[in-house]
Amino acid sequence: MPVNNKKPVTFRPFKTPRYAFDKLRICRRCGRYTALSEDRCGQCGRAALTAVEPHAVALAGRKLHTRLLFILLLTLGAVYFGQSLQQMVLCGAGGIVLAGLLFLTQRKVRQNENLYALNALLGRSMDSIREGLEINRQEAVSVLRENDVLAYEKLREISILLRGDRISRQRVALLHGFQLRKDMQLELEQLLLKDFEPLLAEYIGEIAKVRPELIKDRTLRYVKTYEVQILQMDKGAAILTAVAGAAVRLKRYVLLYSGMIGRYIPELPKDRFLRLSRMIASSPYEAWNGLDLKVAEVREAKYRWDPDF
Amino acid sequence: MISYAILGITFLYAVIQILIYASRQRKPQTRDDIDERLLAALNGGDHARK
Repeated sequence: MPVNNKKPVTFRPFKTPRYAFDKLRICRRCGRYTALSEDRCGQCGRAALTAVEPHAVALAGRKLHTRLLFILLLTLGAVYFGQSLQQMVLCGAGGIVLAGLLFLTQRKVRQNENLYALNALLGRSMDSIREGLEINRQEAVSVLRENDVLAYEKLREISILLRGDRISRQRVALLHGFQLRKDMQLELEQLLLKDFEPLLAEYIGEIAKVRPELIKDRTLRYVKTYEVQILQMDKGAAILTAVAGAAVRLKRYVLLYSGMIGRYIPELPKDRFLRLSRMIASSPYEAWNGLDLKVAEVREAKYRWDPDF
Repeated sequence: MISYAILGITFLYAVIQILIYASRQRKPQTRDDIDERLLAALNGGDHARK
């Protein structure tokens, strides 16, 4: 798609949560799970959505209180069946001591019990979570025609939990229609697929120009694996040159992917070539795998009279 | 006698609960483990994409 035909868009700010389960919410009424930031439950329509961790904490608290109440209830029973005042006092005191002991233990282990409750909740709700996320995905796909930005934003939220190729492919296809800018909240490593996808290769090429700092190890590995297929694309060589230019950012990448970078040195923009040239000059004893010779050749051929070199 | 029996049951119940808590405390859960397990279950073990 030519750049002019792409749509200028603005995404809502999005913060990736530290833990994937932080994105998951449960409806207290109907028990449906969702990863979307909606106010009301999509199934029952009630504003009863709550994050899974506080929900698990509430469940754990209820469980601990029930156990404590059970002890107190047994104590009351023991007092009730006491045949003398002494027996009643003894049973009452014994029960209170036991309840106090349990209460103190519960207070000490509360944090761990909360996490056990969270683990148990997620474990037993796995089918409901899968079902909820699939409904979320269908929701995102259903708004795709009317509002592709909203569809992308929904898929971005779901992808925190569902990391398969299906969601990534849909996101790449949507991103293909948007004009990418430096100030946009973009991602790349999360979108990499297992197999070759021309739209993803184009996206990588654009990212290499707009946000080269997003080109990291996994992206470089992907590009290296599918280098032949990318070269067969219309602007394949330009994509690979942009990626090689982005890789020149770090010496580690240059050393690791010297073969691939070496093939696109003649097409590198001047600033990228200058950086590579200086990098090699500052560490002449590194194992550049022939890259230093290629750089010297290109420098001789293209920049012989350039005062920057 | 019944009241002592009930107190005995209460004692056993409390001890069992405390032992359960103590055993769980020896193998504490972490948020990272829970997160890892959730992602593995949802993505069929393939959740390297972070």
